[in-house]
Amino acid sequence: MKDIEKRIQEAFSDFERVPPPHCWERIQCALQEEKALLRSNRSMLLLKLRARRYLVAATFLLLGGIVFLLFWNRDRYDRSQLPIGMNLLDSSLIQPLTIVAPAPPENGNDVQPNRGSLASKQPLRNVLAANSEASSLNVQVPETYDVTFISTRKLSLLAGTQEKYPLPRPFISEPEGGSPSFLSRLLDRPPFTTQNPLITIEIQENRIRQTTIHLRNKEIIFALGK
Amino acid sequence: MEVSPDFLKACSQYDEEAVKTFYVQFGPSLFGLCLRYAASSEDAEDLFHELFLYLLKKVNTYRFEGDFKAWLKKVSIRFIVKKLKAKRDYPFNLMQTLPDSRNGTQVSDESFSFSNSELLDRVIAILHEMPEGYRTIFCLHVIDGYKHREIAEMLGISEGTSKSQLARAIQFIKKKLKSKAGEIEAYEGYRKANSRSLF
Repeated sequence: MKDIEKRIQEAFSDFERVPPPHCWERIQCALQEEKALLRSNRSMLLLKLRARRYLVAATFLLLGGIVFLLFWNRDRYDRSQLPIGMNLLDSSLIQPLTIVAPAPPENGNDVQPNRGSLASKQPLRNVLAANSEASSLNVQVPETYDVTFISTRKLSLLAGTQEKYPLPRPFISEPEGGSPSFLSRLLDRPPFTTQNPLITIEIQENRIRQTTIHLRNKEIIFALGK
Repeated sequence: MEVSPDFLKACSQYDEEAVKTFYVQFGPSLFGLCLRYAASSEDAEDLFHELFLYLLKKVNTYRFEGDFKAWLKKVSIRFIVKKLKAKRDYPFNLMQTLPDSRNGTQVSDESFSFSNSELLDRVIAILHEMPEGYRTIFCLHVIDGYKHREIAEMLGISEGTSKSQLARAIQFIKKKLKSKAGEIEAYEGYRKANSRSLF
């Protein structure tokens, strides 16, 4: 190394210079700011942690609420009974329809003894009770509806239009305590159409307790009370 | 100097006593470092301020391998180089040359009859007059002992550039040492003004 470079290197080997006093003051101010920043960052961090905890709790509560509602309504609405697009919790679409039983003929000749003729506006349960010996009933639906689906308490059967009748057999299920032949007979006919609003229920076994037929937005409850 | 982990931890947590001790012990050498790499004493103060705060955050990364002061110097030089590279005109600020240093006559390597302290003051005054490229490479190579290959890697320049800048810087210093005695005297005034107590 050249002489001057060597000398400079030696001179700078332990080179120190005391900083001016205001440097320390500046550093102190900066440290105060840093400390304040750290404190605020820490409190912000705590706040974020707390907010996250509340958010998790609220999410769990919400999910729990939804599960509870679904569980609570599991018997009320069987999802398979609902038409496509129907709101699960909207019960206003299903309304009971009172069956107006047709009046019996005055001479009674047109009606066979084993066929129930519903003459008055009375619940079907009473009609059935009054016709306890009947093996079949003719019930006329007072208005014309397209059948949306037919259901029992256990299983719903989708049946959109007359053309779709009869339903495939696997979809047919017996009502609670009832006979398979009941629904089979019911569905073998095209009862709920604008052309043929007549339904004939043939009661072959007395174990049928109740079945429900849903028309579009309506409901007919057959309380077969034998 | 031996430093304890507790002391470094306290420094990194901005404990006032620890920071003050750190400042008293290492402030002068750090300020000296800044003084030779900065373009002026004012710039050196700004650089020292930033460097000191940076080191307080960094000290807890020291692994107690080797001398702490050497580690501190290494980290400080890296920080200074990083600051230099962050400048908008980098790397062109390293390539600045002075007309007289390129075309001037060669100055012989005669021994200068200065004492070490005189030489220090004069060299610092000259360093402040130098273009940034001269100064940085001169300090890195001559004072802090980095090789041209290391300098080239650090600054992202070629070894040839490093060598040529160094040669020009040395010529510049030699010329100034010979002819600018008056300006060195002015620096003496600055030194006296800044040689007050630390706090």
